[in-house]
Amino acid sequence: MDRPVQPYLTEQLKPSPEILEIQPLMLISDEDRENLKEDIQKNGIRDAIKVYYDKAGQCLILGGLTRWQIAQELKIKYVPIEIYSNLKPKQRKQLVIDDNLNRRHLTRSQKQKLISFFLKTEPEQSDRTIAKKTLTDHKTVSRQRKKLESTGELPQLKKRTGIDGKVRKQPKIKKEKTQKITPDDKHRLAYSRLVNGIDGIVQDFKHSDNKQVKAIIRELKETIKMVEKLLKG
Amino acid sequence: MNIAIINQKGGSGKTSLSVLIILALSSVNKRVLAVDCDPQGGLTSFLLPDIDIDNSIFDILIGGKCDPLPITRDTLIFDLIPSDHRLDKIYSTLDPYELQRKFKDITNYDFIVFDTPPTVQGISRSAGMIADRIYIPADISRATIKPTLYTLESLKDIQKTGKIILIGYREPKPESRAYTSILAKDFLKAIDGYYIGTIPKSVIMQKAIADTGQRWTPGRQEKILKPILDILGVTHG
Repeated sequence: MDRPVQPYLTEQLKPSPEILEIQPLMLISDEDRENLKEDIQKNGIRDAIKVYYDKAGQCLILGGLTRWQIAQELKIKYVPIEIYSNLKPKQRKQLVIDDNLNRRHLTRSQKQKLISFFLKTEPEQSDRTIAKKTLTDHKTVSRQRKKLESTGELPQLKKRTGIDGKVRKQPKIKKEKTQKITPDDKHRLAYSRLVNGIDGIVQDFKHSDNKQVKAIIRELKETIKMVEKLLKG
Repeated sequence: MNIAIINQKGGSGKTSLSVLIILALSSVNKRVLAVDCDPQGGLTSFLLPDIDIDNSIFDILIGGKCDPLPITRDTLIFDLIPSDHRLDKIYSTLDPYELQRKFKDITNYDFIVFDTPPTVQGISRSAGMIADRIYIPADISRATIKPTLYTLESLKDIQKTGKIILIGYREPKPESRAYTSILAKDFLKAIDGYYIGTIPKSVIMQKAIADTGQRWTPGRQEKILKPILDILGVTHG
């Protein structure tokens, strides 16, 4: 549905609680932000900022926080807004997420954070439902869920709501026999996890054009090689 | 109470009727706020002919402020939120709840009268949403009938009922076969249930109604403003 767009005083807008909660999970890269700022300086804000009014009549931003911030930096007096009325809180949150997902190429760690956010706020939703909301794979969601359950950050629910809206019982989780871990094994495990963590960062940033980032990636790769040598002993 | 004057037909007498309603209500000591929602600023031109305005309804709608301007016409006193050409950027696409949001906290008036542009979309729809009463001025002419009926139908979409005030209507003789008489009969049939009264054309066409130098003597008020009060169902108080 095409919503009407109208100008609004930039200084009278405020970020909504929904966007303040979710935006940190999907931050724009410095490079993309600079490109956006240049584009806005040249062409103005072309996509209207999505807003809603709270009960006090304050106009709050649901989508376009970065554009609004840039408008303030560039001292742009009016920004175009699109008003979203009569949305429930869950719908507002989903709108924030969808708006950002459509604009961003999320890194692996950003995707994990977003999935964790949904798992913690809607643990009863199935892996497929959350995968659809976050534009990820249900296996990725399942892995993240298991990780959070193992650390106690997420309860193990007996029932979940599927993508079709039906509530289903979950199969019982078999307890794995735990092996005794020797001190050497513990260190190997720790180093192994460290390498995986570092490798994750390398994968997320390896395509960056930033010189400083490239230098950091080179050093991290060297660190991985060194730790792997130590593990082989 | 909020009153909106709406008709998709341009030149149907919306601004003239708005002025008469504002003056009539002021004449019985009601506290009245007039709001000009038309980017052409007809009401503003009537009531503030020689003044340059700094702020208008546009500023309110984009998150800013506009203090109501006090207007005096002899013994008749009311306030005005004027319009200006900038409203043209947003009036046709304004969110339907916008006037409700911006005016819901204004409680220090007995009546707020919204004069709207010739459309039923945008700001006019928004005025319809906030209005407790909607008046649709119309004359009986071929050009007016369809837009007026369309206005009535459009108001039904927002669960509102407009009341039609005919301008310059004289009941034809029952036996008359003149074209205008037939037109009048057909129109009245179509608006049956919505028609509430008539204002003589001589009244609505008086250019001097809103003149700053006009003296609103009791006789003049009786002749011009009392018929409006009768249609509104408002008595002295």
